[in-house]
Order: sequence, then structure tokens, then C-alpha cells
Amino acid sequence: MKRLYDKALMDQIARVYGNEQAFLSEFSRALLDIIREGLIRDGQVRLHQFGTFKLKWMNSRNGVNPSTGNKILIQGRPRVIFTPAKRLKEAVEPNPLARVPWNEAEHASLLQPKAVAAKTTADKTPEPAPEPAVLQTKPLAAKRPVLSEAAGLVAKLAEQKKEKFSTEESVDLKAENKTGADPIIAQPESVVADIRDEIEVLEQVAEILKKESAVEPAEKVTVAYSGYHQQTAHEEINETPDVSAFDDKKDKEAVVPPVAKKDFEWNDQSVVDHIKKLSERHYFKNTEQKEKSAPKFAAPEIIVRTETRSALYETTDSKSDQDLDKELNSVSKLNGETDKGGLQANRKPLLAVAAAVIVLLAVATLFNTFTADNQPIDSQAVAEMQTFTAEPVTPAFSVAEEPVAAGREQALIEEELSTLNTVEEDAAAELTAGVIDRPADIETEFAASQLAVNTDALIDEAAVLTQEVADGQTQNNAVQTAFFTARDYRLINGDSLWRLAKKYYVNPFYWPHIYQANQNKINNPDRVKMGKLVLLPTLYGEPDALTKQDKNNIATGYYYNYLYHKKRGNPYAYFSLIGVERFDADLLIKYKEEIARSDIENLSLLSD
Amino acid sequence: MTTTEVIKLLSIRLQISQAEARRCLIQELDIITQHMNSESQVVLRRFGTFGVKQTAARRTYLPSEKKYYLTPARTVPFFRASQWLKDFVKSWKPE
Repeated sequence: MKRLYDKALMDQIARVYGNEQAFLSEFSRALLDIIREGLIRDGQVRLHQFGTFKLKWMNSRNGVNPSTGNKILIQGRPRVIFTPAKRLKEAVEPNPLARVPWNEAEHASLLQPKAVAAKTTADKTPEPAPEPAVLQTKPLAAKRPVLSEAAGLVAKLAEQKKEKFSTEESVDLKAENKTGADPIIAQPESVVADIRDEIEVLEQVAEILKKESAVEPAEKVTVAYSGYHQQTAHEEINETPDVSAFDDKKDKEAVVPPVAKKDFEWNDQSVVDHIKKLSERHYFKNTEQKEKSAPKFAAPEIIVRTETRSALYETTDSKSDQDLDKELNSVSKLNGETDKGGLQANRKPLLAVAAAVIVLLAVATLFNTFTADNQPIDSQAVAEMQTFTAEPVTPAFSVAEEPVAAGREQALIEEELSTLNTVEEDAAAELTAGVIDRPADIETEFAASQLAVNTDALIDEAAVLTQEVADGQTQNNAVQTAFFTARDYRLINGDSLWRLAKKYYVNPFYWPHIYQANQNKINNPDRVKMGKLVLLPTLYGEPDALTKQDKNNIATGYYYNYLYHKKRGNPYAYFSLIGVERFDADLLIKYKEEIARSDIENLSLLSD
Repeated sequence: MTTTEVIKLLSIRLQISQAEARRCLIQELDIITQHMNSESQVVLRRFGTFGVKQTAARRTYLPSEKKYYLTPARTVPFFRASQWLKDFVKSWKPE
């Protein structure tokens, strides 16, 4: 009997259907899990065209311990029952025999001796050789009175065998005389030797029985023993019972004992045919479709969408690093009030780390001074705010303004602003008036051709610009709906918060967003357990342009992470405060009392 | 629980489409049925064994016809729950 275990089964499936083995093992594990859960939940699981698993309650009952003989109460318990579907039954035995109307005279002999019949059939082949060994054993003492009868029977048997043998020999001799060596009639020598041995053994048995019977009997006879002997004798004398009563050939097969039938049916070729039939039967019909779509870990649609977006971001990162740092400095000071998130998150994760470290310089110092005495910096910040909000925001303005905002005084800022405004106004005036007048001034052909070239270039630029505008519009439409709507997710092998954030929020640095939403479920954010159901919270803004709430959530996530590591005495716990700083600096002030003073000092040291 | 529900749960748990989950389920069950014969068994850990056994010929009674019949011996599929499953199910009680 060959036993197929889980792995071998997966091998088979992989070989037949060409799937990935890792996925298959994962799949079967999940399937068995679900069936078990379903059993507990509903008490039954139905698998179409395979069978149903059911739980049945077995009541408590009284039993006996066979070794001690004590009475025990066997308590009630559920039992798993599997009832195969019709298709499974057919697959196991494609052509079952039909039932036949009962005929007492013919069929009774088939069913009557269950345990004993098996013995008799088994004894036919090894011959009565084991009998003497049985007779010499002790329990024989109780069975002596029947021995005389048995001896008589065995003697009869021996005589009959002898007669048969002699007749057979004579037949053989005759056959040899007539036709020489005839393969059909002539018995092989081994068979003749067997019959001789049989007779010898029978004679020996008869002698032993006579001796035993000569000794005076002691007690009664057990019925089983006599019955057994009578039966063997009876069967051997009358030979096998007639099976000719059955008209059909199928019914004849039914009479043959199951073991013989098994040997007959399951040749190598028949097994192959059987499997072929199975394969043609039901599921294998659409072979073309099967080959095309081999199941794998299909990426959800969301990921495809995000990938295209991330590609967009990479192309738009044309600014130099220095410019970005300047932007960051300016934005971090105005954190929370003006939500120009596009500047903040418009770069790759690694760059973001570097930027965050630089941010510390500005904000940690700011924080320290803020706690010590509020007024001077506050007034400055407010003034800056006013200037920022008053002026119309253009990209040229923001880039030019930042170095000013970083260090200079308020008066200087105002002066420069005024100059900038005048410059801008002049430029606008030129654009409106000068461009129209130019064609009139130009007279030479060379100049005209140049202008034509310029106009061509301008048209091209305009086309590009319109495209960009259209792209921007589509992006804006997407922003209106949430970038990622909340849903449940079951953690599988190889998952981590970092990877999940990268998968669904594009930027892996947003992982505390998940940790913050599942504070009760996740203990250690660095190591999440497989099979746990986790909520992936919504991300309202784009990963480029986070909304205020998103930032707040992520910052709180970083804060929780800080608390977790601080609890465990991790000396580097304050690193996670960088994240809090980066996403929502107000939280640092909010949780001022929970955060250790030394950690904030460390933060300031980090910047140096 | 029925097959459709099993497929739904599978698709949720493994992050695959329901059509794929269905196809995989059918494949697995089909391979199991193929190996349920007199020469091989399928043993799934923490679940049980799928195999085939022989039943003896027996006398049966059809109450509708009020007659006795001889049903011949045949091979029948069986499932034997593993000890792990039995322990797992112990907490269950009928309503």
C-alpha cells in the first residue's frame, strides 16, 4: 500500500497541472484550515462532487476496561463522519455489480460463515500440515472424546485421496501411452509430489488421533472444535459448492473472495486506463484554459495602479538635492498651517531619511527654544506665515523665497518681496505687450525664419504643457477620492508592516500608519504573526500629498513605536521620534511629558 | 458550509480571485480521488487519510418492495479522521 503524504500530493498536482509548489502547499493548508473551522462553526462542510464532512455526537455510555474488567463511563464526544459523493463512489468503482433478488437456497451459503469461512479458505492452500502442531497443545485434553470421530474422518480422507491419486495416475499413464507428453492432461511432477505429501500427512494425523483417543477421556467437548473439523472434512469431501446457479457472469464474480478479485482487476494496464477515464471525465475538459491561467499570487489591482504612479513621481524628481533641503526647512517651520504636502513627500524614501535628519536641526532647536521661552520665535513664525499666505503661491516664488525665510530678519524679507513683486509685474507686462509688438519690428528674412523656428518650439512646448495640465487634472480627480480605502488583510508568510506599506501606500516609511490602526492586535511592530487579521487603514491623500490627518496618524504610529521600544529599554528608541518630527511636529509638544528629556537632547545631538 | 463559501474564504485568505481558488480546489480534490484506490492512500497531516476499503456481500431488505436482495461485495471510499482532528473537534457540541 502506497501512502501519499502532503508533499507528495503537491508534487503530483504540480506535475499534472504545472503550478507553483510553494503556492499549492499554502493553498492546501488554507483549505484544510477552512474545512476545520467550518466543521466547528456549522457542524458540516459540503464539497461538491467529493463528499460531506459531518460532526456527529456520540452519547456517553457504559463500557468495560478489558485489561482490568472495571466498568467505566465513556463520555460523549463528537465524531467526524465522511459521506462520499456519488461521483467519488463511481470513481472508486466505475462498474459496480447490481443487486440480485434473494434466493435462500443459493445465497445463504455465501453469507453464513463469516469468520469461519475465512479460516477454511485459508487452510485449503497450506494443507492440513498445521493440525498436528495444534493437536499436541494442551487444550486438546478437553477435546479427546471427539478424537476418535476425527481420526475416522481423517482416515476416510486419506483413503479418498489415495483412490483419487491412483485414478489420476492411471489417467496420466494412459495419456502418456497414447499421445506422449500432453501438456493439458499430464499433471506436472510438483502436483503429484504435493498429493503424495498430503496423503502422508493425513496418515500421520490419523495415527496421532488414534493414540490420543486411546487415552481415557476427561471432560466435555467444545462445540467450536467439532464444528470446525466437520466443516473442513465436509468441504474437502464434497469439494467447492456449486456456483452455476448464477446466470450472469457478473454474479459469478461476486462469489469470488475479495482478495482474488483485487488481484484480477488491478493490473498495471487497468490502473492506467482507470486514471485515463477519470481524467477525461469532468474537470479536465477545458485544457487550453487551464494552461493559460496557471494560478499564482495575483497582485491586487491597487498595486498596479500605485506602480504607475510611483513611475510618475520618479520622472518629476528633477530638482536638485539642495533645493529640496531648502524646501524642507521652510516647510517644517510652517508645519501644519500651510499644507503644501507636495513638497514634502515628493522624493524617494532614502532621500526622505536624509531630509528628515536635516529637519531635526531646525525643529529640534526650535522645540528647545519653544519650551524655554515662546515669544521671539512665535512672532517671527507668525510674521512669516502672514507673508506666505498673503502672496500668491507660484513655484518661482517658493524657490526664490526659501533661503530668505531660513535665516534673515523680517524687514529684509519684506524688501525682497517687494522687489520680487515688481520684477514679476514687469515680466508680465513684457509678456502681454512686448511679444505682440515684436513681429512688426523684425524686417530681415533671417529673423523671420528664426521666429518661425521659435514659434514651432513654442507650439511644441504648449502641447507638452497642455498634456501636463491634463495629467494634473486626472491626478486631482483621483485625490478627491481616498488613495486607499480601508480593508481587512490576513497576514501571510513573509509579510511585514514595512512591506505592506510599500505595497499599498507606495512609501514604506508610512508603516506606522498600519501599526497605529492595529495597536491592540500587534504587540511587536517589528515581528507580526502570520494568519492574523489586520486592518489596513485608509490613506486619504496621495502618497505624494498627504492630508493633515494622514500625517497625524503616521506620526502617532511613530510615537507608539517609540513608546514600545522605550518600554523595553532600547537606547535607540529616540530614533522613531524623527518620524514623529517629520510628519507632525505638534505631537512632540502634545506628548511633551511622556517623552524623556534626554531623548530630545539626543535628537538635537543627532543633527550636529 | 458549502463549496461556494469555502472558495470565497480561500480567495480572501490567499489574495487570489475566486475563479482561481475554484480551479485549485478542483485540482486538489481530483488528484486525491485519483489516488484513492486499492494501491494507494492519501494522508493529509492534521486532517486524516483518504482511502478505499472492501465491503462484503450482504443481504439487504427493500421495504418498498418488501423483498430481500443480495448486494454484492464492492470497493467503497472512506475517510479516517486523524487524532489531531479529533482533538481539535472535541470542543464542539450539538445545538
